[in-house]
Amino acid sequence: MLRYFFAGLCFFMLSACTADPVLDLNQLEANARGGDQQAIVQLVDLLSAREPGLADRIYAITIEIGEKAVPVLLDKVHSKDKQLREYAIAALGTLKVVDAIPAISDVLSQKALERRYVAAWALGEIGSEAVVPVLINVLDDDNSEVRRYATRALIKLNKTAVMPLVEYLAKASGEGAAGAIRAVGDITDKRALQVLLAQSQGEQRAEAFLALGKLRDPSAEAALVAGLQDPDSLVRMNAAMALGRLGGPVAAEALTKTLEDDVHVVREWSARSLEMITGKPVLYRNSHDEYVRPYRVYH
Amino acid sequence: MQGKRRISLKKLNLVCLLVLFIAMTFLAGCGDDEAASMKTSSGHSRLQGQVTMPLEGVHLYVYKPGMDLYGPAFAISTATGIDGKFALELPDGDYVAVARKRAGGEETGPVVAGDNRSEFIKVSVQGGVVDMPVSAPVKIGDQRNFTGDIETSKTGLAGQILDSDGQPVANARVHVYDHVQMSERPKFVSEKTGPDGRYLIYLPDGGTYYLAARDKFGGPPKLGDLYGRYDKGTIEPSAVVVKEGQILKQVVITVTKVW
Repeated sequence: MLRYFFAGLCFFMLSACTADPVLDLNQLEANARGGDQQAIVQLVDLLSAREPGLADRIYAITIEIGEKAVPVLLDKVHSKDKQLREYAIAALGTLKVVDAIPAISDVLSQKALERRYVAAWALGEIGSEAVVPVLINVLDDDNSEVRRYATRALIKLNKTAVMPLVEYLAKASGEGAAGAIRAVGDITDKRALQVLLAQSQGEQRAEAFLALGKLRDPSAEAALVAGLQDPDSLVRMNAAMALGRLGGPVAAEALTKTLEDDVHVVREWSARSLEMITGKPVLYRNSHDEYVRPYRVYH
Repeated sequence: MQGKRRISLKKLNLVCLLVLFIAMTFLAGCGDDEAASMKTSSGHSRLQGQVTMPLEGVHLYVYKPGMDLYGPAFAISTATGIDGKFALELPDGDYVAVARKRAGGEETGPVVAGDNRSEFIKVSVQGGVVDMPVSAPVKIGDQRNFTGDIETSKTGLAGQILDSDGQPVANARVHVYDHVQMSERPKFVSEKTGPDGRYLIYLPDGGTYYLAARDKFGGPPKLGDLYGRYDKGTIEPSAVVVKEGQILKQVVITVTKVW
């Protein structure tokens, strides 16, 4: 009796499955890994799937398939589906496909498109010198995520990006200048020193002070000491922060005075930097009017 | 494509559901691989040395200049043995190395109080063998508090977590650090955001803080996670200055997928 029951059950299952077959993801994956181009196309299309976790799973498989998936991924860079476009661009970036630079750069330049941040990210991953001007061009983009990822990508490109950034900074202002200053600061290349000193006199001086601190060049000390008198407390804090990394006796004297700044964080950073310069414990007045040592913000 | 994947429910019986459940469990169980980081790579040079005291169970993490020094490394050594020695094959180039030993034995995740870690060491590998002694003292300090554990104060942070489309992100948390490296456990963690993506964190004191938001809790962000630091693209996060007695508002953190 039980035997008939299970036989019927199996027949029922089979008839259900033949009416509307389930996608066999394992088989599709196996075919795609074997180089079956149709399977790769089908797999890459699944990057548009909205089921939780599915697109991420397909993405990992696509990356493992690697080179064989590249032509299909290139076809999807201009997809109207924002998720498919995002995953395809991310995959091309992860796979460091130099041939994808023109298409990804084009997406980055189309301001009406969503999720362009991934284009900036991918160009940074590909890492060719050719992407430097493309990334610099979006440092003043309207979208803050595009600006942020472009800055990060330029930092990743490192020395390759320095001279184009220095040339750009000579004329830049606003968000574009701020992004370029942050990038050269993190690359820590002294070829940027003069242009950063020039920027330390302008509207982006708070950013320039942080970048000068990262360069650790003592010739920036005078500009930073002057920054301790700035009317903007954020600028004073950044100047105090930067002096800890490069300051000498002159900086120590100036920081001793800003231990009594009106703003708590300026006092705190003055004390922290004084400890870094002198190697001795320094007390500052916290917001409860108690004299305490600053905690070590850098491990 | 979507239609092919769907299963018609009208003919499904209990066994079909069971089969489907098993299949879904199988698919879900196919875990993502760890973020791309090489254990070793074939190359021309060898970076080797000893972690003093000597220290056993330490991994050396090697990054290229410009990489996030708290994200997946370019290369990771195998754990040091009883002699504290490590060796790693690397292509010629400049690198930043750091030794870490987590007390729990994990290879990834935040370095917390009680773990060992070295300073970041710049090293140039140019053919042949490069010897590098490393000191990795025990890290002291740090603790984590959920904001619910903090007595409501007049000092804090408020804002919203958004995704790359500018939409609010639900079920995410803001992690607050007081150290710029953000490598330790967060000092404070917000409650999960609601559908509007908004958060509010009370802090015991004003000061300089560093923020990140994510949809998962614990361990380094992995492929597919939503993660974002409050920064402007720099290697170090941006400092957020909170004045005593002030709720700093409109602090927006954007999270994107980890690729």
